[in-house]
Amino acid sequence: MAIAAHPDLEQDLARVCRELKDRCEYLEIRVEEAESTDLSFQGPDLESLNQRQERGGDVRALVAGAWGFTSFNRLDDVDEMARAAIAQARLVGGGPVKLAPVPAVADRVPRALVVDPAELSLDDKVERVRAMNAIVLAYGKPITTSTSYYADRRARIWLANSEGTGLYQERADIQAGIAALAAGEGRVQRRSFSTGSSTDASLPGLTEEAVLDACRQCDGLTQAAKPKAGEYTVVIDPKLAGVFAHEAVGHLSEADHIHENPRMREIMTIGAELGVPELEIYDTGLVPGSRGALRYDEEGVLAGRADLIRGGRLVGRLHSRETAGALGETPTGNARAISYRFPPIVRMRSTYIGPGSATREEVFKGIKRGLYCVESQGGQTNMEMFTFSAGVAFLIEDGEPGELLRDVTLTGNTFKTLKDIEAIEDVTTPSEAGGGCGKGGQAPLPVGFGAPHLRIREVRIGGD
Amino acid sequence: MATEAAIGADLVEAALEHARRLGADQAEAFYTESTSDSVDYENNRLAGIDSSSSRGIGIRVLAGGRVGFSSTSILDRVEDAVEAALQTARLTEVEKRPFSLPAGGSIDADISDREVEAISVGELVEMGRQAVDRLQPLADGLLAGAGAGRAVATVRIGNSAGLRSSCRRSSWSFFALAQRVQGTSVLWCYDGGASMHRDLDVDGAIEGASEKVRLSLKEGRLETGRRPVVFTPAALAALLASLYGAVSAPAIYRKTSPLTGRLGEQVLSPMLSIEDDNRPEAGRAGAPFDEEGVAAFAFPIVEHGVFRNVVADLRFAARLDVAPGRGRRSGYASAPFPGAGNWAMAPGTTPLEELMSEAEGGLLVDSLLGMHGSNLANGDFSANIGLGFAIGAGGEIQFRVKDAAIAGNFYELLGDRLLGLSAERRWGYSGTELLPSALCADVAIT
Repeated sequence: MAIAAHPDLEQDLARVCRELKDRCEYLEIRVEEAESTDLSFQGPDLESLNQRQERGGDVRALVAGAWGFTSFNRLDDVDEMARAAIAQARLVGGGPVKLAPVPAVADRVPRALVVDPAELSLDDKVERVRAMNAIVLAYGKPITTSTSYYADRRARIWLANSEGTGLYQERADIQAGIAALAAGEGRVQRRSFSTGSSTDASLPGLTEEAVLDACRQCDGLTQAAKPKAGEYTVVIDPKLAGVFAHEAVGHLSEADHIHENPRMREIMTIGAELGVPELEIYDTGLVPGSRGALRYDEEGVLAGRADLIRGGRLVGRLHSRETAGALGETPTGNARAISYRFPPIVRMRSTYIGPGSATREEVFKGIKRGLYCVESQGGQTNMEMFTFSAGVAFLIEDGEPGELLRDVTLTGNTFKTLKDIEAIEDVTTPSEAGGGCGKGGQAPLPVGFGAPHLRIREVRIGGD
Repeated sequence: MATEAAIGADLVEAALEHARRLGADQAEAFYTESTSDSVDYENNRLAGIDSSSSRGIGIRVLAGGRVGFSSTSILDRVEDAVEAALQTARLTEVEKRPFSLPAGGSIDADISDREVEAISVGELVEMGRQAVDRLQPLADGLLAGAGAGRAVATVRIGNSAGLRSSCRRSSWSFFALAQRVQGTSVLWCYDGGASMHRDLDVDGAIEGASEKVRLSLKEGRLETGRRPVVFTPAALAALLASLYGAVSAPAIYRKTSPLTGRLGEQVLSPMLSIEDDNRPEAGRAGAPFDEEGVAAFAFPIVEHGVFRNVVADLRFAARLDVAPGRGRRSGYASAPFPGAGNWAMAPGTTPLEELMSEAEGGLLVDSLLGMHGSNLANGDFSANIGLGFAIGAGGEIQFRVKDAAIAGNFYELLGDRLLGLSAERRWGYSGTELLPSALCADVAIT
């Protein structure tokens, strides 16, 4: 269903910005219209199928270095809500916010889709997932059931600000996933596979082979043992390494964590040696088709590539206009919001670990006894400490991955771990997963990942 | 405002009428409108004020035994949303155990606490400022934060069986947070709460976070091994995520819960009793009716360790032949799903002080990191200890334990290994859980 845009919307937003310009340092108004579809299978049954339409907007006002923010979903309220945002910013009573200067932009960014979700019928979407779901159900024992989902969202976003920016962007996000569940020895095991795209609703990453792999691993997990708790040399696959880069380094590089925190500023000093010399980590909006692909961020800043770690040293961080202003650096196009309900905050786009020099074989070579950890089932960090659960793990003996292990949780100190990297594979593999990133109550935000295999010594593995 | 109420009621009628005309067998419209204000302190200062107004409608239809759902915030296009809902109902499965939307028990309630509604943005600002002013001086390099918010929401449910209910309610929340980074060590101390009423103890939350900071000034490490652990109500709430999942009807229905087929069986320690109550007086998750319009009530989830009841909405109640009444939504754009009400765990008889002295040589755990990566389906977990303290002789807190992790199984921990529950209880941060502290034996610390 297409929603007709408010015909005078762009002029209206520009007018409000012009009229209120003199009452504040900065004013921006976003309006978003979106259509979305989501569906889920539980076992063989299509359990839910929902369609949504939404329209809403938000206003952010800066007065004497302090923010006010309002959101609404009646467009007629835009004048009133803009005035309310200014009143609130006044109430805060002054603050240190100084936006880094950026050029005003006037641009239209139409969606450049390979397959538009709007071109697929509801039936197409349902049948695509049903087929993948059926593979899981046909696998047989010990897999007892499945869950599968698909979700897409198409949005049109207007941005106007008091500096003269007038921007219209179309965006899409598509994701799907399947999970196999198996019961064995009184335990339930679950393995999942998911993928996503910002351009292709046919989701070419969602293949029969990927689904079968998840089934085989789930099968194996029912017989698998837990590892003994302790410290291991660990090889992590590109998917887990990508999540590690995102959780442990990406979040630390978000400048809002840094700019008012003197201790973090000290640790995250540009030039600080954070990792082994071969380590390169960057965040980019430029990967075509990635869920983190972005032309302009929510502040109208071009979203390019931001290098975070190069040669093992910290070389940059992720910025909004506010954090760049505070640190005297350049905005990187990382101000993002999940919807008009939230103000833009510093977020990642697609976060990559660059390739190193070891062949895949060399990464494993010489490990007497270690663990090969594959994919992530979630993780958490609190700056210094991280905890990740591997999807599955294999015991490495004399450089060869063998026995499958379940419930493998990796924990450690991020800064120590970055220096304990012993080998980086010579190729970076991108991965696009479903779900998304959460921060400041805004989840899930679509992001992308990419990494090579990494070998890390002395990683602590939890267990009984 | 009367006009706003009329708009909501009219939209519900218009949606139901359109669904009837298009041939839906049953239809339900769920309309919400809400306003909220919140203030956010970060790094010792007021970072911003956020106000939101929101309205929208969700439409569920049953046609030919199939369920469809759609929602919109574009209120002049409610008819489109009804059509979209019917479109989805062409494709979903025929419900094997059909359910009927409730006909009776229409309620129009206003349980909003005028004192909560009257909390001004200025007052919210002042509460946060107090937190920052009191936390910041406690240690060098400490960064204080706080959040305070107030919301008023009206929910309106109508269905083709004749139910017309509405409820207007208020809620508010407050938290205080202290954070300190030293070298590569990060300390987070958090306290707070949420309530429908003015009773929230702002001063107590600030003092709670302050006390955690004071206790954390001395740090040390513990050797790996099995030790007694006292879980604070906040940590116990994190552990209970396992049980929320396990007693939820979809997990039972799909046999992914370890409690499948175990109603009436002893699954946890006889010391443990949990009641689920979604009535207004029972906590912040309370209202006169659930989000499918079923009148609120209380029932036991676990009684002396025996699994008593499944948490179900209308659809899963029919599938499992159990009682409905726990239909939840995450806003107008969400189809109903089963969700628990307020949980109250029966207290123990031992004073907390005594539990602590029984745990000599062990740990007091207040927060866990990484719980969501654990295998909740089995109850197995492995998590970093975010904030934990070594317990010395007489239950005295010795120091904050750094770099430690904890592992175990929920059903073991709150089964055979549960040694005692404190006589004192407190509300969890969400205002929906009233819990004691729990002492468990032989917990693996790595």
